[in-house]
Amino acid sequence: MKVLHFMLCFMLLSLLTGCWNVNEVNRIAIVFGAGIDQLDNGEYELTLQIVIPTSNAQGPSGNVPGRSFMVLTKKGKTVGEIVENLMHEQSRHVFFGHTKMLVFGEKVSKSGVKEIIDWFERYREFRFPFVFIAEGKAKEVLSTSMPLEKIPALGMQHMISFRYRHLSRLTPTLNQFCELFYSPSKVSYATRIGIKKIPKEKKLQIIGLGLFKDGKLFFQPNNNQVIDFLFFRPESINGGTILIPCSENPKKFSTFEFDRKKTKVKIERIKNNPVYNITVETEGSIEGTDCREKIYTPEQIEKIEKELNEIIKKRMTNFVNLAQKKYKIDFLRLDENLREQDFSYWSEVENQWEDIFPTIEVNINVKSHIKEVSGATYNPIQEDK
Amino acid sequence: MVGQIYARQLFYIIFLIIFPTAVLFLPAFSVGFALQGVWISILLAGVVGLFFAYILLSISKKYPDQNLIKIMEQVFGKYIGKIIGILLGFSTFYLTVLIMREFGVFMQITILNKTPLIVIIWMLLFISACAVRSGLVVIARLADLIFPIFLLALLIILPLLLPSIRTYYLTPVLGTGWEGIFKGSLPPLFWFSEIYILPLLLPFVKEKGQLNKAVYGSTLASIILLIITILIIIAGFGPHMTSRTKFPLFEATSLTHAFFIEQFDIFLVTIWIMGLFMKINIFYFATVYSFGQALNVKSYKSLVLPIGLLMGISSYTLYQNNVQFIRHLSGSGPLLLSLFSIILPLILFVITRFHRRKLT
Repeated sequence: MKVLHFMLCFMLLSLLTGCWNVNEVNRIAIVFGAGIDQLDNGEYELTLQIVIPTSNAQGPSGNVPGRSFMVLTKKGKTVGEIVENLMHEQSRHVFFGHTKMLVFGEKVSKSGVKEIIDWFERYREFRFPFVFIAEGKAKEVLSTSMPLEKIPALGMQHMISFRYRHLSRLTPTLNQFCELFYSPSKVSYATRIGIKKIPKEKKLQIIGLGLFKDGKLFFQPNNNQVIDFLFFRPESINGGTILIPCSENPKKFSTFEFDRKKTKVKIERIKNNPVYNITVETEGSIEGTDCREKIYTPEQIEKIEKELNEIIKKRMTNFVNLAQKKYKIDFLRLDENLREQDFSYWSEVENQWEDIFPTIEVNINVKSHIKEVSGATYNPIQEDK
Repeated sequence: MVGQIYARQLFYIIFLIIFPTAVLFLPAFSVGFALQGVWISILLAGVVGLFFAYILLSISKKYPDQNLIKIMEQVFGKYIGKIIGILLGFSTFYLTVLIMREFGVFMQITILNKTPLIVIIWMLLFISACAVRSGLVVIARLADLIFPIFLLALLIILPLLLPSIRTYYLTPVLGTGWEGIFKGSLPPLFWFSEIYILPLLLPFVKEKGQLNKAVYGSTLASIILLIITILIIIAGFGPHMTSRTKFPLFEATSLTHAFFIEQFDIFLVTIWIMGLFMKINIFYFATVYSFGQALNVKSYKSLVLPIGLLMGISSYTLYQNNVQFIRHLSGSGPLLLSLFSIILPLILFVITRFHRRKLT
């Protein structure tokens, strides 16, 4: 009996060795970036950035030279079909589990990502990559290399997750993108990547944000407007600068850099119309000045704070006007605040919000706080007064 | 007598009855109705769940050392009691089938994509049959072993999710109104009512004095942990994504990273297999035991294999596909079960409460 038990236990061990669809590490091609473009005939083109493992291996004499990644493209009617066809061309199983970036081409973003996002959400191997929009074609973005990084997709990931960039808080992962996408206002956003062409070389750069309504790209704010966008959002701003013109010469500037920011939205109802009171509190430091005025006095700092308030207020007002007058879409997601604070009213106007939004009154109140003017007490310009 | 278990083990068992499947399937069902207010839903359901625990305890206390089947034989009369006992056995049988299929669906969607369902289910069933054959004492000791691992793993994974949370996902709490909250409290209510097999297990407990502590404590612990987990999932994942994905906790775990280790989702699957295994063990045992008691079989052990075979077969033949199963699980399945898990204990409670004389 004991022998039988022992043998039974031993047989159970054989179950531990593996399972049905086992993929050994050296039998998979690891995808780090995936991109989708739409062709003129309506078909999709999938681009994959795949690591070439041998060139990334560390030899005794440093790295093995050669390209560290390769780019695969394939056309087809659905993403699922393309992936299946891609598998026929590769000696290895194309593995999506480590995808770090997902890029939508400009064309597909404009015609709507609704149809294709489904596959990325459903496919089992997929986790949650960061979502980007390419300026132009996604294929071009994915085939551009980065000088400091072996794998550009990883480089992009480092680039946006660097803490002191104001966009770092905004670049959504796929789940956040979808969450925004399914929320009542249906406005979502993704970071835009552009390609800067310098002679003999191409370079990737972040050029702002792309805003989607119902899966369609409608507005592409640049890096500066992203700060305006952030003023309305609950996310903080780390890094990011605002230029304050000097009083004696408006063509010269002092630079204000954000440390943090706080947005409070209070909604009142006046005569059955919502009135938004948005209070923005910023904190940061002056990172250098070209002005002749001394900045290292409490009075001057107070003055600069006031100027800063005015500048931010003006920028925010312009941005609200953009939403209310030009696009007539609530991409600032002000409806969420209303839903939070005055639910009974929100449920009344929920269906007509698109019509009401352009008419609502938005009061903006800015409180800036400059806590430091950097290390130096005098600026060199003051010397030649 | 099959043996005796400790109150501590009962605590673990009750926790493992409610929590493992609840946290897997509940977010998707409940959050769809209540969105951010889901914690109120669970709290409401939890209060009712504690009331259930009170009912079950008071039934059992009136007849110490008697299990549910024998109690029913005394309350309803011998034959009606036996018939209800057999039906109760069928209800736990059905519940076990549901849990097995839940396990199969979970494994298929998460890691074993192309493995046939039949393999996943039979492998688990085989081990489970071994455990049930060995008796409740062995299952209780398994609980001793698994519960700490389970809890520890959860306490490791949940803090890892904290960096990705956005607190503004948690408001507005009453976004769907009270109607949504009440609707959202139905699925957790069914989950909490799954403790209806307690009167079957209570006679086995050695320390009768600590019954209250174990039962209420365990229910409370699972309510609190469930609320914390769901809040973290919603805050990390957003209410709409939570209601759209099938296994939000699993998906959310793939966002985690600690130092250089990324993607803890596989880790989660491993501990969840343990949790689900325990749950299957308990209900498998309850089925076999209640059949044995109702049919007056000398030793319930002879029933383990035949019933197990039936369970295995029905768990993959009852539903043609996983979509059908999930629909069933979120709709008619729990309603059917509530006949035994909610209505039967209530009737028993009312009868035993208002019967002055102790029935013999």
